[in-house]
Order: sequence, then structure tokens, then C-alpha cells
Amino acid sequence: MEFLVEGFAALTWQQIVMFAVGGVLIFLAISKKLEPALLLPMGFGAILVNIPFSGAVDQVMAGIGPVNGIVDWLFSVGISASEAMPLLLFIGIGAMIDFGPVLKNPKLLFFGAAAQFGIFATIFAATGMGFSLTDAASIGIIGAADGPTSILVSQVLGSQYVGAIAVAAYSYMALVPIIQPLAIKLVTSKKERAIKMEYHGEDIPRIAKILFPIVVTLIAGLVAPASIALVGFLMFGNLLRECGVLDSLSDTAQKVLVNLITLLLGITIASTMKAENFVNIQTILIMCLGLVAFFFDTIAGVLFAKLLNLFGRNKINPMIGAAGISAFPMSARVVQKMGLEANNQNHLLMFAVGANVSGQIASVIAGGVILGLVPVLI
Amino acid sequence: MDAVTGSLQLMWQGMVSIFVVIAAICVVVLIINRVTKRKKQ
Repeated sequence: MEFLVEGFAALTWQQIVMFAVGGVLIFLAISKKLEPALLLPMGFGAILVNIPFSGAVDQVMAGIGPVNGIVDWLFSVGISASEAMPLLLFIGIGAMIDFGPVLKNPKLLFFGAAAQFGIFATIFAATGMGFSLTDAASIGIIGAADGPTSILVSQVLGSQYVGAIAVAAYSYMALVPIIQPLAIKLVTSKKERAIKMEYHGEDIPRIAKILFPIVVTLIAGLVAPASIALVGFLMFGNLLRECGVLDSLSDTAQKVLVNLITLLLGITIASTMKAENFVNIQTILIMCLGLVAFFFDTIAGVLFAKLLNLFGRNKINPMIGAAGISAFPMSARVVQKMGLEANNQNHLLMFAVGANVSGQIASVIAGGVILGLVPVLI
Repeated sequence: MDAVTGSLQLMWQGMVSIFVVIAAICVVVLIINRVTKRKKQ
């Protein structure tokens, strides 16, 4: 009957730490409602894979030999083999996004580009801390503020920190309403935050909305081919939404597909949260660097807007730049709220949403650009 | 090339690449808007 206590006897302190990490993630998901769809499965998965001799992960059983575990199998098939899960998730995300605000005001696209700076600032900081360029690039992509992009890029680059990166990416995305106001207030005055912007909305013709995903795919594919899987799947989802003849597919992509992949993605990522890989100083550094990434993204977006104000006649509220990160729609809501706090007649939501969806496009392009450039630079 | 120098190169080339792609998309969106608006009129 010794086998009944084998699990207790084999328990290490690192595994107990991981149980605590899993518990914290579940607590944050349920009690604080921080990205519950991802953090809850990840938290539960962290417990699942760290139980000694867990049948959920690959292991060698005495007298039987190698045995496959479902969580490791899901990771191998769904993420490691072809990045299928994060990519399929992009079809659903694309189907959810209305690019109308960007089509009405294309210059908002540049805010999305500027707000990717945090990625590169973090890569620089991570290399300064001793990470290799591939690991640093994987950590920096947390600044894309886009969970699936972070998972995909870190996996393709072969980073050993995929689990910590995914936890940081989703945790900080949920903390955008806390992080961004701090960063914005650091680089703007109340007078700047009160700058009023007038919105002149016009209807966008359907043909423009249909052409947009096709054209973006072609341009991104031709200029940055490494980004094509990310951009292409995002835009494919958007084409389903805008074409007007595939409503049921669009609906399925937005709801069923997204829910199904999200459900599996969280618990699959737990495969990379085994104690031996997760409980180390690098994980703490990655969590700190993730915060740096979100901070610099926000600051870069705001400073870019301030730079444009030096040359333009129509002043832009610099907070619009902060909405250029991909965390949709939290970032746009933060900017709208802060705009109203500074001036109760100042409705920035439509501009902020435009910058925010631009961030979605720019973040996947940034992911592709990093995948294209890193192998050349190492 | 050491990792820090590589990261600076990545920063420079990466940001330029992102802005180039975004600028290209922006130009095409402006063209699409102009053509569809003219058609509407």
C-alpha cells in the first residue's frame, strides 16, 4: 500500500510553490475577474501538471515505460507543432473587430505602430539582464499586449519561458486599467489630457470594409512575410465578418471558436508551467520586464502623439497614443475615462477605439517582424 | 554580435519595419476611401 503515499513523499517545495501560483491565478480570475477565461484554466492547469507523477503530463512509469499525458499532448499538437491554437484564436478575434474607426481615420494606424516601442525597449532591457536575444525577444513580445501573439512568437523562437511569458502577458493585459493611468499621468499634464477632439463620423462603404482585410494581408505579407500567418488569420476572421454572406461562420468564429480555443489554450499553456521550468529567478525577472513593456508602450504612444502635436494644426489629445496598445477594449476605455476626468465634455472613445484596433494590427505585424529579424541578428 | 547590440539593431530595424508596413496600409486605406467616396457621389 506504499503507493498511496508516494505522491506526498515525492512532493517538492517547487511544486508547492506552483500550487500557490495556481491558487493565486484562480483567485485573481474569480475574485478580481482578471482575464478569467485564461487565468482560471492556467491556474488550474498549473496545479494539474505539478502533482507528482501527474498522468496529465508525459512521464516514464515504472514497469510500463513512457506514457503520454493529455496536457503535454495538447501543447505538442496545438502549439508546438504549428501554433494552431493561437492562430485559430486570431480568426475569432478578427471576426470580433470592427475596423471602421480606422477606415474613417487612417492616421490612427500610426499610434498602433508607436505603441509597440515597449516591445523593443524590453528586449533591450532583457538582453542587459543577461537573456539571450531569442529569449529577450520572446519576453519583449509581452509588450504586444496580445496573449496569442506572445505565445506564438515565444514558441516559434524556441524560448524556454513560454509559461511565464503567457502568464505575464495575460496578467498585465488584465491590469491595463491600473498600469496605463500611472504611465499616462507620468508624461502628460492635466491641460494636455483635457485637449478636446471633435469626431466627424461618416459611414464607411461596405466595399471598403471588405477590401481592407484583403489589402492589409497583401501588404503585410509582401513587406513582412513572417507576419503573414498572424495577420492573415486575423484578417480572414475580419473578412468573414464584413463580407455579409457568411454571418453564421462569423458568429461561430466570434463565439464558439474563440470560447473553445480559449478554454483549451489556458490549460494547454500549463504544460510549460512545470515547477522545474517555472520556479526560478528568471520568472520573476520576466514578470518585472512585462510591466516595463506595458509602461513603455503607453509612454511611447503618448510621446508620439505629443510629437505630432508639434507639427499639426489640429491638436491630438496625447492619451490617444496610449490606446495604441493592443489590449482591446480596456485601453480605449481607460483613455475615454481619463479624458472625461480632465474635461467632462471630452469624449475620446471613437478616437481611442480607432487607435486600439490599430494596435491590434500593429501588434501582429510587430510579432511577424520580430520573427523575421531575430534569426538574422543572432 | 552580442545580445545587447543585437537588441538595439532589432529596435531600430523593427520600429522602422512596423512604421513602413503601417504607412503602406495607411496609404492604401486613403486610396480605398477616396475611390469608394467618389463612387458613392
